[in-house]
Amino acid sequence: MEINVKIKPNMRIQAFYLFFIIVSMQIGVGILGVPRLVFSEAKQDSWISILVAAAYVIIVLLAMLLILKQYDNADIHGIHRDIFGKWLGKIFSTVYILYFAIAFYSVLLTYIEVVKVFVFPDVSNFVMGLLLISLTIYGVLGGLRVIIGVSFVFGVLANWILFLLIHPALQIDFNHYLPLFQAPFVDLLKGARATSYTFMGFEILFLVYPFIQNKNKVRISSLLAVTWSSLLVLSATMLAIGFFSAEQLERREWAVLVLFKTQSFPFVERFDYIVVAELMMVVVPSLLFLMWGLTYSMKRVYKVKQKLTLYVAAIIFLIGTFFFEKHFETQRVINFAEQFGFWFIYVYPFVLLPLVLLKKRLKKRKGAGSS
Amino acid sequence: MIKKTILLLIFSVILTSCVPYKQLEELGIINTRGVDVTENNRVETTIIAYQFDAQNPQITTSTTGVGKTIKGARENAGYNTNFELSPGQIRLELYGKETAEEGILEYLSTLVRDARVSDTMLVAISNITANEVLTVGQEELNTDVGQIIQSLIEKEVKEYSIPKTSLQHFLHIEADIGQDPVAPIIGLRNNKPAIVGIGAFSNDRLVGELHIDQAFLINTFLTNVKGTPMEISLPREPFVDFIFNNETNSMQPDKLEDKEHLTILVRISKGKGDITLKNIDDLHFEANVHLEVDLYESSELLSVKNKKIAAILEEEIEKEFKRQYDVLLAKLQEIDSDPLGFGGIYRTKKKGERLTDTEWREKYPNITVDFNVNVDLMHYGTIQ
Repeated sequence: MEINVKIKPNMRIQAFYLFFIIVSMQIGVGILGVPRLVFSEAKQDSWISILVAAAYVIIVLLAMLLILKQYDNADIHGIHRDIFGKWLGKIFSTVYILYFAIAFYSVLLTYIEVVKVFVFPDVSNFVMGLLLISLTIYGVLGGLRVIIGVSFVFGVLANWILFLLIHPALQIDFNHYLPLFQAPFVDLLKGARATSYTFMGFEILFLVYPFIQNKNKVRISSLLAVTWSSLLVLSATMLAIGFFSAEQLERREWAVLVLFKTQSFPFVERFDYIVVAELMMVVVPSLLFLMWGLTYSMKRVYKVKQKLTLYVAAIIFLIGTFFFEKHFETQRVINFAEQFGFWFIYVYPFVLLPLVLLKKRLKKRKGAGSS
Repeated sequence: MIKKTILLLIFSVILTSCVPYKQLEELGIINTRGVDVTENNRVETTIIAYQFDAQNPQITTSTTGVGKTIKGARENAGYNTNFELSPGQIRLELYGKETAEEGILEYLSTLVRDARVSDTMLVAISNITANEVLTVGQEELNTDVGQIIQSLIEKEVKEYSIPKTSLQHFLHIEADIGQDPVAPIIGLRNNKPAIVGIGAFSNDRLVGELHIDQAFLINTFLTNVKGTPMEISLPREPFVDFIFNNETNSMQPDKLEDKEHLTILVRISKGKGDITLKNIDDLHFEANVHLEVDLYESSELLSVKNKKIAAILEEEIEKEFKRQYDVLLAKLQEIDSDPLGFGGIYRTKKKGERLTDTEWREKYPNITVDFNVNVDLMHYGTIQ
């Protein structure tokens, strides 16, 4: 396996699209439930928790960029190979592959559950799974450029649902934010930890980095993406806290979806139905990227053809939708993905960074010694 | 290209069968639901539903069912009708008096749990049983009684005479520590449904019945009211000099008439109440209410010639409102219901531990409130 990836010029993408890649990965099903998770830890000071989390995400992102900068054009698997050698590197890369699989599965199950609870209680998991997975196969067969196209188009088109939140925003009770600064520091950190599943997704940078043509714009594009996602999560949480009373919010599973329930127009009485359908536009890009990450990593690490991984994984996921039909089982999958992702996405880059820097220094010294 | 289009069309036709469908002609779309508790803790629901049956000229149908839970009662009611009863369009939920006195949270939470139920539906209570209001009303009116009650409530809410009473509002205020909800009381007047008052809750239990005018007083603290008509009785004495006497054709006061009150009708064009906590240890609050009113009618020929009389009017209206607010608070403290949200203000000012509901219930009867009402008389119509 090559450490640096050679990408043909016609396969490269502009750094500008990185914004849509990261936002569509981060904003998925996680944002629907995040207000309750943060609020149950940090109460009315949840906004501080989210700001702390956002700041931390930015620091992780900068660390990731620093790691990537040490190589010409490498991705995470190349770096693993370089740092840990053939076997250990493969093990670490396999963990990444597993993460993509679990994250894909958790997004799939959550969206199916939302559809079942809000719109079609009788629809079978298999049918919904088949529809979503067929879409995923169709998209991933088109390759990375098609997936990025989907995330760009859907990312632009799905934003109109934010306007539907104006109505609940006008009914905010500002007393719910008071008194300020009551949560102890530990609770604030716990609240920040609760956002980890929602903010996941920027790790895709480790994979798409070699595809980017103008590397000097990567930093600004990815930082803007993370800022935008954080703003969305922050405003959704603030809205939910202002709109629901504490007791309600602690019991609402998908608080953000319920916000749409009070919106009503003469021509559409129940907007939540439309929002659930529209949510597919938000979920499909996440699914596409996760599946692409899975197949591409298999190709990089084990030299398995992407198509083969795609079909096998699709069948396994489809069979998997039969199990985990109950709500708490779905939650367990999400929790597992969260636990798994937390160490690998939020902590692991800080372990990798010193190793990469050390290796580079050693190499330089060696190079200097031999000359 | 053509191949792809045809494929796409075929797919979109086939895919529609993947989701379960519901045929409109086979549905009974529940529009209004009444809930009563009968003996043995059984729930009796009265359902008014739309049905689209070509053979039946009547568009609505009413059925009743009994069960241990609301949904159970709905299933039971389903045995009486050949339509599948569907809850997605319930616009009004009416609770009987006894039911409301025992607490309605359990019935409301089933509405929240079912994501297909709309959050904008109205919550109301009746001063008899819900069943009686709905069935008697339905017989008398020959139209859809549910819709009539909804428009009754929505009209008053639009005029800001009563606070908003949608499911979401009710639940939000019920769950807030230090605030209690209110809901309109529907009764029968000449066997026709009418709003007869406003029910004050303590948490989810109905604890008292307030006069409909007091609903407006509460509403000034919940929202910015605009355009509410209101009748106010003022003492006649300060205005004696300004009442035009038609018989003597002069401003001479008519000594023979010994009425005590002068009643005026004002339209409150703007109103806003604001509560501040003055002293956290004594639980002393200050409630400022600012009202902008237009004079529309007076029971006698009142002449508003100069600033002086306007000032007297303003002052008398202020006094009257202050008196009404004091009466309201005394009544609310007696029944232990806090719809104005003093507890909410206290919660935001309290440092340290979070306020609990029981803690506020203990403190609420002992709070003192100064109501300061500030009235601006804006317009007097076309005559002076």
